[in-house]
Amino acid sequence: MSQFLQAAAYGIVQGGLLALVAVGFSLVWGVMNVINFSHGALAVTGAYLAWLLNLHFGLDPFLAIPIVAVALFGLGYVMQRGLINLVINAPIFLTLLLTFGLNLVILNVLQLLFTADDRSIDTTYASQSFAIGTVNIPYGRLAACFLALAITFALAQVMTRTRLGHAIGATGMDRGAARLMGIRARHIYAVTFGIAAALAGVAGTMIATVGSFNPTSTPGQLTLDAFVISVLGGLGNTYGALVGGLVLGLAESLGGLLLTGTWVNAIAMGVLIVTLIIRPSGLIGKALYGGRVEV
Amino acid sequence: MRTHRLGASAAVAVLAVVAAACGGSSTATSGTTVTFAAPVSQTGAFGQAEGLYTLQGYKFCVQMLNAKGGMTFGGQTHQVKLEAQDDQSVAATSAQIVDQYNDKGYKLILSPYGSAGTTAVAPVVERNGQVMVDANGADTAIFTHGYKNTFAVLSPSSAYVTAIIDSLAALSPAPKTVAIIAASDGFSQRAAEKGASEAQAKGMTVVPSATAYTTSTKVGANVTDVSSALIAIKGTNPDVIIISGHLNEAVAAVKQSSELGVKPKYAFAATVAPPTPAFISALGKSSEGVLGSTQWVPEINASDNLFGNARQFLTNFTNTFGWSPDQYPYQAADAAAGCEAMALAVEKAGSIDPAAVRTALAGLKADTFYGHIEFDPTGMNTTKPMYVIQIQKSAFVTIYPSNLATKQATWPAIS
Repeated sequence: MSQFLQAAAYGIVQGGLLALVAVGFSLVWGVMNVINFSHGALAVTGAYLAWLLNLHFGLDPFLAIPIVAVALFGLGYVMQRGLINLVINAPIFLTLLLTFGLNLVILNVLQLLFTADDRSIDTTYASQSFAIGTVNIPYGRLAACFLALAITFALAQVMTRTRLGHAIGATGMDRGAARLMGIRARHIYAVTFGIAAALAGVAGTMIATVGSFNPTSTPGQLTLDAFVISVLGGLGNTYGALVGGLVLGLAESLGGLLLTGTWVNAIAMGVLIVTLIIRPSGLIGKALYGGRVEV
Repeated sequence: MRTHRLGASAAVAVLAVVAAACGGSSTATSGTTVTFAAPVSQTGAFGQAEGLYTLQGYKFCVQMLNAKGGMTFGGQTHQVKLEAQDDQSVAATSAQIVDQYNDKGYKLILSPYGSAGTTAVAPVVERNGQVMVDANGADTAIFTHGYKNTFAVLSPSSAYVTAIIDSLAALSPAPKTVAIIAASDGFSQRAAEKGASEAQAKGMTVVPSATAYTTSTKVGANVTDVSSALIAIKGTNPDVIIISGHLNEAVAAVKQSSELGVKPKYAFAATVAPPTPAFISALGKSSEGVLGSTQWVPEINASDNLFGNARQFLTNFTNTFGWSPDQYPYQAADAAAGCEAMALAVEKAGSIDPAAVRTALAGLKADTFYGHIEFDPTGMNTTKPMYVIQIQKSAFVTIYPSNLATKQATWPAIS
């Protein structure tokens, strides 16, 4: 029983970290209908930035988050305005191909700059934990989980209570109508992609704090996790990534109790398939995003 | 002592060159340069640690060979050149590089770091008619395919966890229960398999079960998250947790044990990782007291003409590459011994023809700074034992076998 509780507790905090990775990916997919294959690469770029700030200036990763977010927002905005916007009206496969290419370019640049070695940000607290009975809760992952909750809540407020959020939502639902209402779709898309990149950077910072990262294996795993979580949680709902992340974290952790740790990806895909059979729009996704109007 | 040895080596080299230049009839003349080619990880999972140590071992060996005047055969001395290329810690890349070496005419191959890379390279070597000395691939499975051209100087994977168990059994109080976390790669699984059997033979109970390393405590190779295995162990309260894997898994296990509150009663122990400087730098104080099995320790009574005795090898190598003699990477000794075996075989064969070198390797019986090197019909060196160290005050202290122990083990290591 204590093993089950420990696995559940770890799964929840790990799920929060996974949600943090996926929330930006889900936003871009939901609004722009772009499956951003470079999302993991952007997260790792954020991880390197936080690592550099810690290495050279001794900046705590949590204090580095605003700097990383602003830098990644700028990078994301430029990527969207300068490149992805060129093919935004093309079939989804073309944007898929473009973001895959961007992913390769970013990863190769990172590898040239930093080599393929594993890096991590060492802190005194991230790998420590506190106990509730026989269950240990790690501080680092718990902090990442709270960050995911806070960011998701803040993003939901922005989407529902601000003009920018309404503009993003409207552009995602019907680009043509949004344009007729005076919304500059190109700018909104770039802002959306910038926000997603900033969130990827924050997630990368957390991953560097509680674990390690490199430019070869980490980005692919993060993109895969983000993809699975977005589909699992469902598009069109800001809380979709959070729900998807928590479900995946729990499934992987509890699954690890029954199977071996090498089955992690298989468990993730199994949960995804079963969910899609039962609820094709995801756990809390909105079906209307399947029938969006794009002009 | 080390300075004298390098000075003597340099003097020998100068004398050899002068003699060759004078063209004395009884002295070997300078022949062509011989290339030893090695795909070695300089980036990726092994790039920071094991691959780096392997490359340094190869470089040191070539440096010493050339300082001695090179290899002597066919009445000439031949300088040695090391051709090393980064395989990015990807086994398939190792194999591709060795294929490219063949296209360039490099037939004498020194192995990449690790069993996965060596497993991928061995069939390529076989197909191309190259010959490989395996310095860092210990998986016994490599030697079950009937390859004729691969020879390993190091002890096989079956000895890694077994050595740890034997050392634990010799300690007081001896552990009654051990848990074994094993990575999914062949080396780690086979090391765990033999270790679990040895633990039972020594009267220890393996928790949560003797075959858990194939199920609940099995983790992916080179992963940085081993939480599932630690959770599976939690509640079984083992006296010792053993990690059969490489650097990433061992570091993750010790780190995440704090996150998950999984603490062994006596100590952590691991294959491969603890006797590496990277393990101490990654874990800091948490590395204190961790036991590790190792292929080589400087206390062994062994010597040869190239490196001197084991202690001299340690001094000269650590001075050359700036390591502390308290934190020497044994993988470098493996690599240097592999390179030395190749050189001895070339000299014995009197040629760089791979078939002749292969025949020479098959019949090689050499006592070196690394211990005795002799290959069985499958290509393994089963004559050399393994050793166990413990990290004490950030230094590797040999604790097993007892006749080589420099200090007593800190035991229990976890208070």
